[in-house]
Amino acid sequence: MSDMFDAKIALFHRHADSRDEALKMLAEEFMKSGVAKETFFDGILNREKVFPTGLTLNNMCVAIPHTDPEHVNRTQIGFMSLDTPVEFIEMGSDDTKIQVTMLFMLALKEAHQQMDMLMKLMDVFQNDELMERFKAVDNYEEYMGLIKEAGLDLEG
Amino acid sequence: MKRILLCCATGVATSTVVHKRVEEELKKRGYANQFTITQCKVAEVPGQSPNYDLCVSTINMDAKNCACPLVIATNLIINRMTEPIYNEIEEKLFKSE
Repeated sequence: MSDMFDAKIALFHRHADSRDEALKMLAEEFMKSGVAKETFFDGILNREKVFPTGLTLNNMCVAIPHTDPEHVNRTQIGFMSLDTPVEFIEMGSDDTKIQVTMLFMLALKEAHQQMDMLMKLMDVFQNDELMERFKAVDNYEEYMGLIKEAGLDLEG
Repeated sequence: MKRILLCCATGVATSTVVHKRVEEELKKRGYANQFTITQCKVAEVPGQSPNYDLCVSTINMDAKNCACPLVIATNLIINRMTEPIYNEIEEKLFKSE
């Protein structure tokens, strides 16, 4: 079992012209680091088109793009914040458009294994103050500090 | 023993979160040891659902594709307005006979 953040996939205050461009920027980091296979981006994009992953929180919208385990080598979480939002569709809807400013991309190898971490992540999404700090963070050290503070640095 | 099928798009992420929430809530409501939960992909629901008492889905799906009673539970992912969903699950699983 390894750390879900050790590939250090975190991009701060980026700009993307579209959802697909944002997904590509982040997914490429997963593929470059070997955490995910070369099919990962296509898997992410196809899933997002059929079953969108946007979530509306209290003060902002985020997305949790992920795809089938067959595109993944090992479990890992990647982060990207955007200075200008991109449009996602809300999870569970067919056409509710939301403006997403942060992506928490998940490379998940199997079910159950990461249950505690996923539960914690959903709790963090309900913590408005912490989410504002995730949005503001601009360097890796500070980001990992937030991950630890949020209790997300669990063994995978 | 009641059998719950819990589905999401990939069968690994949001269904994992909702699996835990449903399990804890049903235990809290006094149904410990009276149910089992199995996760699957939404694409597997048409084939799997005849063997289950209830399907809980984290994503929108057509009830026509599900052979057992269905509850859409998207709000359970981020723990928002959960009470009506838990009530519906309890109702369809334990109070429908």
